[in-house]
Amino acid sequence: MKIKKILQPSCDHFYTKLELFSLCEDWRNYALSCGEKQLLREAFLAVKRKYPFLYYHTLYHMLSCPFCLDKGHKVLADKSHRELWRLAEEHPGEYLHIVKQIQGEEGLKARYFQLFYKQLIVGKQARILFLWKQGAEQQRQICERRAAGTRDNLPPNMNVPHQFINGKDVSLHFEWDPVTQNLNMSLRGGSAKLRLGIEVHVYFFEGEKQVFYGKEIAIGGMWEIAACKAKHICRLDFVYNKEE
Amino acid sequence: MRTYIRRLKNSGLQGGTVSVSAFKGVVPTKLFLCIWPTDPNIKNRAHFYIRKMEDNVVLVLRATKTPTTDCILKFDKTANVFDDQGFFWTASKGHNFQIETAEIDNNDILFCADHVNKNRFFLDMLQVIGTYSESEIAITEYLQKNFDVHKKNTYAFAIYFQVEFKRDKIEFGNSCEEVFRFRSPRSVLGDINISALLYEYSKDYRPQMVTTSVDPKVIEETHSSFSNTVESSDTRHSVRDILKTCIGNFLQNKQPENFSDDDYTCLVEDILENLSKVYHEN
Repeated sequence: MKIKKILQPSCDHFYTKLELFSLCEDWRNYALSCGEKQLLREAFLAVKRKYPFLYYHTLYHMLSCPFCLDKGHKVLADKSHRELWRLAEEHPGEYLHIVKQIQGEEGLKARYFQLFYKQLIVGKQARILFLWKQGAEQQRQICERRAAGTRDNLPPNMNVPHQFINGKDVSLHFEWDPVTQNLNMSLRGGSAKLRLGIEVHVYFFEGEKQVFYGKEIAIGGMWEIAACKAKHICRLDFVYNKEE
Repeated sequence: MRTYIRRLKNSGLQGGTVSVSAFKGVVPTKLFLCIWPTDPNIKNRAHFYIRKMEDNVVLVLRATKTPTTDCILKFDKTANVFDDQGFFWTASKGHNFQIETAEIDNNDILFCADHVNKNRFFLDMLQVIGTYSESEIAITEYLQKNFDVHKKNTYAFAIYFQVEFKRDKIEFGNSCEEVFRFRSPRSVLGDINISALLYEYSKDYRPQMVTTSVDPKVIEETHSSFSNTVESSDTRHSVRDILKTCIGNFLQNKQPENFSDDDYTCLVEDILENLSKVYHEN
């Protein structure tokens, strides 16, 4: 029997999978000898290495699927965080505040949420969320990281929708510094005065946020994001505050 | 849009509410109340099935045998399940309820109310059912009218929700699955849990439309079966035996030390195969 036949994010083979995860994740005491335990641990590690995505996706399914939770009763319910559904349903940019909040929580539920976030989302999320904001208005735009015309995970150029920047032509430009490997972000178009009202909020997968102010580059220049962080950009808010 | 009907687990009436374990976040579009005379085993007298009626998928109770006149349901011991208002929310564990009843009509929907649940108490829902007909009507009266319940008998009940869900796709990187989800998991007040439902995995990681349709399922109460199958000492023993045997075979056939990942995979496959036999899932 192929492992892939059983290890599937579906409701099939429920009890077999439950037993498998109980073994792999050490949920249950099987009263085995040390040597046997060690051997099994190695074997399961090999499976995790071979099918990392499938392993976590399947486990995610079991902890997030209402049918499986229902069947597994407490065994699974203990590990199922109530925010787990977001991982599959929303762009991480939408629930970063929850990620941040869960980082402060303790217990199995939070631990599994973080595990899935790390294994299934961070670095694997193929899209980046742009939010254009002015006053109370905002508009979402989701960019494929690996679409044509993008380079190294970012689109080289993003035109700011006119209605969010006083009807002017402004675009956000990304460029990787060939020497430092840092990410340079700059504005094209727009007067110095207009730039004063611009703020760019960059969110990273870990839930951190970095704010760049237009006044820093009002008369030219670029914002710089360190290389290690730039790869973890998850969401970018472009905020334009109209002058009073 | 498909419909999904699920039996709620009824774990007793407490404090005027029925503690049920519907999936959190589910928005029922219809609520069904099924009542049947309590011949010891419901399976002997009736079974449920899903039927398409007009544009609705509905849950139907069909009696398979004629109920005997003197069957008594040990539903509750003392309870006045149908109290003055005609609701049975006051019932508590160990109570009987008796009403003048007769046969439940052969193939009729027992109860059906347009209703959006907001994790409300059972009482509220019954009131909604009550107002479903043109004028408010007590449940006893409703039963008498619609099901010709007049002989003395004792009855059991179950509550069913009808929930709409849609097909959706979940993707994590290159891993993709077709799923059914409840329509609007976030529209419900209160605790919201998970929105995924009835997963179908598409082959070889590639996004792929699933062509076969999945019929709505009625999920039976499973908690008890879980503890019966998984927790029983027989199962525990056979699982342990399987592990020991598989490890034994593995060590016998392979050179000790230096196992490769492929060797380990074989071991895990062997274990999985045997485990799935224990649970009859192969």
